[in-house]
Amino acid sequence: MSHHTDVPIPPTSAERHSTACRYCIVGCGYEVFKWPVGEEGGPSADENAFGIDFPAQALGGNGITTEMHTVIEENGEEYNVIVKPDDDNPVNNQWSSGDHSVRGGSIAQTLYSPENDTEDRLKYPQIRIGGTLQPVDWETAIEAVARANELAMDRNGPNGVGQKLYFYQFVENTYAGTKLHFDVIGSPNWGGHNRPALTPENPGMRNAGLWQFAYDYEDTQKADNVVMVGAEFYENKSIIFQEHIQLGVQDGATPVHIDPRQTFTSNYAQNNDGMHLQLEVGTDAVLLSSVARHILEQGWENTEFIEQWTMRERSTIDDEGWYQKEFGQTFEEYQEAILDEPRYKPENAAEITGIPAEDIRSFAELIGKPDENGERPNTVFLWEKGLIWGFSHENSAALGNLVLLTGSVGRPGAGLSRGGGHQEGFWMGGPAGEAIGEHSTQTFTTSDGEEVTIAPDTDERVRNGEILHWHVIGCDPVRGSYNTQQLRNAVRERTSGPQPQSAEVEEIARAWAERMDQGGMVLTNQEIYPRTTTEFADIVLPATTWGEESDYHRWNGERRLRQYSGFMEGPGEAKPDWEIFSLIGQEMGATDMDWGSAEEIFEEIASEADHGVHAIKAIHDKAQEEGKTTAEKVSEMDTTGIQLPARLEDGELVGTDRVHQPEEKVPGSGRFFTSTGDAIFMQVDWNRVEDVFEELKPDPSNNEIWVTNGRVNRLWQNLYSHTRDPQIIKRFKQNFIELNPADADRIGVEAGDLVEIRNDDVYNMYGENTEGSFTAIAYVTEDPPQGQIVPEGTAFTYWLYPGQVANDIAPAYLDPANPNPSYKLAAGEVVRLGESELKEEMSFQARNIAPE
Amino acid sequence: MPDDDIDKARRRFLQTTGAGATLVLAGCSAFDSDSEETPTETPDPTPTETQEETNPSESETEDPPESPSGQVEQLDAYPRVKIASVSELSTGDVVEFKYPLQEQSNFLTRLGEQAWDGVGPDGDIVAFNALCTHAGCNVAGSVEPEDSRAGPCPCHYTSFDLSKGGLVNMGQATSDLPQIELEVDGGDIYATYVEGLVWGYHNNLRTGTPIEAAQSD
Repeated sequence: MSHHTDVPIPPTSAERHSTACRYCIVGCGYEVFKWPVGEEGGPSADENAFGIDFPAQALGGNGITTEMHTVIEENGEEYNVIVKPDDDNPVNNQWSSGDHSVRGGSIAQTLYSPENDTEDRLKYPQIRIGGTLQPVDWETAIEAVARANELAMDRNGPNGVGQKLYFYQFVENTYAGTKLHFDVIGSPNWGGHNRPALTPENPGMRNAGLWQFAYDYEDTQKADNVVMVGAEFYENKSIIFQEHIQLGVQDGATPVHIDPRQTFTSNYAQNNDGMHLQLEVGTDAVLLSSVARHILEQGWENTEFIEQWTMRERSTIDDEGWYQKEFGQTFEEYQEAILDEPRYKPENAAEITGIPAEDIRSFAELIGKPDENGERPNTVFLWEKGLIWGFSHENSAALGNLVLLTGSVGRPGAGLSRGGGHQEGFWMGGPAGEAIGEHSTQTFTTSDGEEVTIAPDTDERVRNGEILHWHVIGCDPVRGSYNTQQLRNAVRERTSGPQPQSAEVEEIARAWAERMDQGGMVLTNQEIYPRTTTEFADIVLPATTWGEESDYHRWNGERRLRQYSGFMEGPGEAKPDWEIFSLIGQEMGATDMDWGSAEEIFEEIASEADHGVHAIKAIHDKAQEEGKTTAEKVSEMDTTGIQLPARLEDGELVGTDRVHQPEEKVPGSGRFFTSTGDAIFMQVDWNRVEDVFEELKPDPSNNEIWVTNGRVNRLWQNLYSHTRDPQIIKRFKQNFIELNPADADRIGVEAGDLVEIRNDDVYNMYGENTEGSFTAIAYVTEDPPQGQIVPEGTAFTYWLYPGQVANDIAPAYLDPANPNPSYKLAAGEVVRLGESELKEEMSFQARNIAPE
Repeated sequence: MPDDDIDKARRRFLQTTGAGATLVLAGCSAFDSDSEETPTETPDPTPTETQEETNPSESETEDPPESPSGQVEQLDAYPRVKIASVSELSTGDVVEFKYPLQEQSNFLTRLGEQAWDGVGPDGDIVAFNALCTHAGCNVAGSVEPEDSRAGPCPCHYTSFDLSKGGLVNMGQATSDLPQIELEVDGGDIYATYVEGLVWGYHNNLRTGTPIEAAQSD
C-alpha cells in the first residue's frame, strides 16, 4: 500500500464499527468504516461519513492516511475499510483530537486482504505427517489435540500438559483457554505469553496490596511529578505521553525518567526542567531504596498515611500469606532495614548505580519533601519492563515502598501504574490455584525452612521433559522466553522423534505415544501466522483475530473496558480461539463449554464478576434491567467504554477513575488489596541478588558489554503484523543494536555493519551455563544533537526480532520465590561479521531528539 | 467529540504553541525564501491566518502566480513549476513554496550531503511537503538541513530523514514525508510530482486552487 497518492472518502452510507486499537496498552478509541468498492463519498461535510470538509484540519483527528485504508474481500465482493482513531473518547483526545500512534495508525495494513502482505495467514488446520505439515479437517485436528492431551496425562498426569497463552487477546478467549487448561485438564503448567509461570509481574507490589494499573490517565495531567522508571513512554505508550503526560508537564509537572538509556523521554524530561537518572543496568532497587533512605533520614515520610494505611502488626502481616511473611515488613522493620543497609547511603548507592549522590537526594526531595504549608507533592509513579524484567521482587518492592512512604496514591494527580505493554484481556476460567497447589513440582524454601509450593516455570518443564504436550496459543515462546537458543534446541530435539505416517488418528496417536515414551514432546500451535514456534509444531490450529467475526472485550491501562467489534470474516477455515478451546474441551468430555458465541461467554463472565478491580457485574445487572445483554450494554458506550470496576451508584452505572482511593470503591475490597485493606512495606535486600548480579554483569576481560533489550516505537511485539507493512518495517528491515561510538570504535564496527552478539556463558540457574548468539545491524550515531542514546558499556537491541533473537542470550535467572525472568540483564560480546546490505538504505539518525 | 471539547483541545494547542487563530498550518514567516540563515529556533508551527499572508511572492526565485485560476475540482496532472534556482540556494537554506495547490506548503532545502532523489550538482537539493504525515502540523519550521532532518514536529515530535526520502526516523507518523520530485533545467529547479499523499487530502490534486504551471518556454 505504499506510494498510493489517494484514499477514498467514506460515503454517508458506510457502516461504522466501534473498537479500540489492536495493539498497545494505551487503548485509543478507534472506529472502522466499511463500504463497497465503487461507492465513494465527497469532500463536503454533507457528502461523507465523517461529516467534515476535506482537506481535513490538522490535529482534528479526521485525516485519512494511506496507511489507514485497505480493501478486503468477502464472498467475492470488495469492500473499502478505513481504520482510524476516534475523535470522541477521553483516551486519545486531550491535547489534540483523534491522536494515534504509529501502531494504531497502520492497523488497516494488517487486515487480511489481497492488497496486504497477509497471504500466509493460517487458513486450515494442519498436522505434521511424515515430517511435513499437511492440511487436515477440523475434526481430525481437534481429535488429535485431545489425544495428545490424553497421551500426556496417561504418562504424567495433568503435569504432562503445558499451556502457553497470551494475557491480552480478549477476555472471552483467555477465559475459554484457562478453563480448558485448569478445569478440564487440571494442569499447573501454565505460562503467559511473556513469562513462564502464573506469577504476578510485580510481586513486590501485588503482594503489598498495590494494584499495577491503579490510576486514571488524567492523573498525569494533574500531578506535580511524573516519575517514569524503565519505561520509554514516548515510543511505547505514545498517546499517554502525547495526550496526557505532556499536558501535565506544560502545566508545571516535573518529569523524571529513570533509565539506563538516554531516550527521547529522557531528553524531554531534561528539556522540561526535569531529571534523567541514567542508572547502571539492573541497579534500580539500590537507587530507589537509596531515595527512600534519604526521605527517611530527612523525616519526610508521610507518617499520617503510613499509620492509617499500612499494616503495623507483624502478626497481621504473617497471617496474610507466606510471601508476606517472608518479605513483608512493618514500617519500623522497613525503616530499620533501609537505614541499616550501608549500600543505600546515597554516596554508596552512587557507586553501584552510577547516579551522583546529590541527584539521589534531589529526587528524594522532589517526591518526598512537603512544602512550607505541609502540603505533599502529588507524584504519579509509572514503570514498565526496565523495572519488571530486572530483579523482579526487589525492583517492584523498592518502587512500591516509595509509593507508601510518600503516601502519593489514590487522589487526583497521585498514583501508580505500569506504563503497560499490550492491553489487558485476561480472565481466569478455571481453578488455577487448586491445580498449582495440588500438582506443581516447584517449591520455594522460606527463610524459616518451610517448603511452599509455587507456580511452576513451565518453560523449564518443556526443557526438562515434564511436559509432554505443549499447547502454545498466540505467542512465540521460542523467541519470547529467556535463554531461547537453548529452548529452541530442546524443543527441536523433543519434537524430532517418531512422526505419524498418515493422518489417521490412531496412527497419529501411535507415533506420538512412542515419541513421548522416548522423552519427546508434541507441540500444538494455535496462531494467526506461522511463527518461529510453528516450525516445530505437530498440530497447527488457525485462529481468527482482532476485528474478525467475534465481538470481544478487554481494557486498557486505566482499566477502560470496551467492545472490540468484529467487522470482517477471518481467512479460510480459521476459527475464533474461544471456539477452538470449546471444541477441544468438548472432545475431552466437558459439558459446560458449548458456547455459541463470544457474547455468550461474556455474559457468563459478567454474571459472576461482582467483586475486585475488574468487577463488571454491575454492567450485567444494568443490562438485565434494560432487557439487554452485557455485550449490548458495553457496545452502547462506544469507544469511551467504562473504567473498571463498574459499579451501581443510586441505580446508575458508573465507572471508577482510580483505585486505592480512601473511600472504598472496589467491590469486596478495602483501599488496598489485602485482607485488611492496609498496604504492606516489602523488604528490599540487595544480598538476595548481589551474587547473581555479579555473575550477570558483563565481563570486560571477555569484551562483554550489557546488551539490554526492549520495545522501539516503530515495531510491535514479535512483529506478527508489522513485518507485513512496508511503510513500517522499512525502518528496521533487520534487528539492530544501538552502540555507543566508543564501544563501536573499540570493536571496530560502524553504522550499518552486521554484528553478532555472542555469549558462551549464558547464566542458567537450573544447570550448566549455555551458549547464545544473535545478529543485528550496528546502529551508531556520531555527534547526536542531544546526546548518545546508550552510554559506553551498554548496548540496546529490539527484543523479539524474528530470526535475530535477543532473548537467545537472556539469562535463565528467575526469582526463586516468584519465577519471573530477568530478560533485561543480558550481556555479550559484539563481533563484526561484515557490512550489511542495508548499510546505505538505513537511517542512523539520532532517535532521541526531543523538543527543546 | 463535543464542540466544547474541540475548543478545549484547540485552546490547549494554541496555548502550547502560542499560535494564532487557525489550525490550518501553513508556512511561517521565518521561512520566507529569501532567508539566508538556517533558523536556529523552532518557530511557531502555526502560521499566519491566511494563505495570502504567507508570502512566497517576495521570493527571488519564483514568480508568484498572477492570480488563482479559481476553485476547481481537480488538476488533471501534476504541473511542472519553477520554484528556485540552483545558484541562489546555499547549503542550509530552507525555502517555502506552494505546490501543486495554492494551499499546499512545501519546503526546498540543500542538505550538503547527497540525498535520495536529490538534484543539483551535488545531488543534495530536495523538497518535501511541509505537513507532518501524522496529524498535519507544519514541520517547515523544524527543518535542520545540517542534520538532514525535519522535526521533531512541533505537535507530536515525529522526525524525518530528508536524505532518505523523508523516511520516518522516529515518532507516530506512519508514512514518509511526501517528497516533491524535482528537475533541474538550465540552473532552475522545477517541482514535477508529489510522492505520497499530502496529509488531510484525499487526493493531492483535488479540493484546492491549482498553482500556475510553468510556461513551456
